[in-house]
Amino acid sequence: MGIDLSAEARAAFRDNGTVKALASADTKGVPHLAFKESLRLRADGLIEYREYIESSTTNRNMTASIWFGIPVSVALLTPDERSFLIRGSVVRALIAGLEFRRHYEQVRLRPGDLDLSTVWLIEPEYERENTLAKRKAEEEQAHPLHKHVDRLVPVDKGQS
Amino acid sequence: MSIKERAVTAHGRGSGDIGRVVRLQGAERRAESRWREEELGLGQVLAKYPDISPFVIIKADVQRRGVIYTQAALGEVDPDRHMTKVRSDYCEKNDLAPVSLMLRDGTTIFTEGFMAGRHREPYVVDAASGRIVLTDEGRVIEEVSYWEKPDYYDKFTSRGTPMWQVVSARPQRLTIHPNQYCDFWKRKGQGCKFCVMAEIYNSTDKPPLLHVEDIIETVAEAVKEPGRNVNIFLTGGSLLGGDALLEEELDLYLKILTGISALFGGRKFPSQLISTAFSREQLRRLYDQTGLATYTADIEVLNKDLFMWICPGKASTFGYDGWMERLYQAVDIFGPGNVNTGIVAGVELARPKGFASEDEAIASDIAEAEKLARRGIAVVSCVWRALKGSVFQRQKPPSLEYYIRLAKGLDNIRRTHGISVDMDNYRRCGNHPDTDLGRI
Repeated sequence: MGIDLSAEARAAFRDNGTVKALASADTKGVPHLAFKESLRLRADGLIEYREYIESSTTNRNMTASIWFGIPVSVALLTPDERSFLIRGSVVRALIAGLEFRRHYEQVRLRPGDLDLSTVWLIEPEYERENTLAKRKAEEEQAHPLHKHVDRLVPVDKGQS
Repeated sequence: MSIKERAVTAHGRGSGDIGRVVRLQGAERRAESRWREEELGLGQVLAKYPDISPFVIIKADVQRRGVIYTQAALGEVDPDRHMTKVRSDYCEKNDLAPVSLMLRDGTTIFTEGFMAGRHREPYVVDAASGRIVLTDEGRVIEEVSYWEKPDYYDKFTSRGTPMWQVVSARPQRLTIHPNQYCDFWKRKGQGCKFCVMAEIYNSTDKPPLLHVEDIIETVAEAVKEPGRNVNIFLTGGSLLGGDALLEEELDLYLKILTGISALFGGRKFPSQLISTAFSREQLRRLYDQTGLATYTADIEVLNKDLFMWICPGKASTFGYDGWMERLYQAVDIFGPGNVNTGIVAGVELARPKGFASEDEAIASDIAEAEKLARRGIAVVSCVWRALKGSVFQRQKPPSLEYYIRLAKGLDNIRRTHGISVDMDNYRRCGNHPDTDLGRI
């Protein structure tokens, strides 16, 4: 079931300085992580990304995902070090037609004589902010026993 | 919900009433009433083969059973955007129905109009809320889209020929059929028994041979379209004549391919020719004088005795072993992975001379395919439809499970022998369930 991403995650997608990565897996569960600068949030709430290499591991894994319902994850790291994890399902591969052509023409304007294999569409199903400070606060709230006890010993400031 | 879950569990809670079905050619025939009880249905095959792409399974079944369209589905056709016309050696269509379909994962389905099988009900393409869906017995199976029309399609050559009649299109391929007839059909009883080339030709007023200038001009126009084409493909009926056997056919292809090669500065370009099996010397000329990259000569059926029965013209002219030998010679010239051979999967079960069971047929097919693979040649399979006008028109094609077992077997052979699927993959051709499986 698709979800709407938070305003913070949407802002992270819009920020040109955000580092974006896509994690996928093959049919045996072997994970693969790749940085994908083309990951973008569409107006319809789906995430799209442009695959330039037909035989890449990610492209094969995305195919496996849409065939067998294997989820994929997108990780975002903003310039101010907030991070977001989005998990979703691959719902469509654009490989031909008018919409594909629009992407292709944009790709061809870039330097490097790039080709375009596929525009993949991902439906977000789960989102979590993974920024360390936020996760630490959540952890301490939900799992107060998850800590080393030496952290609880009052620090003698005179010795420091 | 995944398409597998939908297909397996959605019985009785489908999309509601299917819209009024538009009945055109073939759809009026009543299918055999008990076929659903006699073989595994789509949902059962999806459940039994969880390691096979459900999209490929759906494709195989749709191509096997055919499709018809509801009025609502036809209402979604935009003739300015979608392909509705096609002229090829196997299809002549100029109405406003979509030429064919595409699934969400990019898998193509070849329906080529309103083809519906005699023995099994076709799928129904319906539409609701702007969504076009494939349905069976009122249940939504999967979303589909219509093939989009290329830029050149409504243009004319300088000779005034509509370009769509010269070069037909798949979503990513230009398809050229220079000879729309076949010399084997000129000899009584020599045509391939599954083939409708003669039937299509005789029911239209199209010329047997296309003008080479029209072809070059159309291709030159078509290749301007950004991001459309990844392959230029030629095939057609056999031309046996000339100074030596097949020289007429070779000369025609040489002229066309030389002209197209010039568009790419004489370099090799993504291309495939399916021709009658040329000799080593002819293949050498083809490779050396043109930019053709890959070569196919279709054996059609992987059994010597059945080849003689089903393809009598090919058999009497070349022989089964002779055809194979020419494939081996093609590998010497084009290289491993750049030569394959196609089969019309299922004709080896045709009555009365075919295999008695699907198990026997598959075992034989796989053994022969293994033999070819050891020489660097892949076998690719097409789904057989017993088309009206063919000698086999009353035959019953095999079950869906047969097609999935065969596709899996051929894909495994290619992987085992390290033969690339690139020359005939899902984008370059898209008519082979087995090569679709090579995507992962």
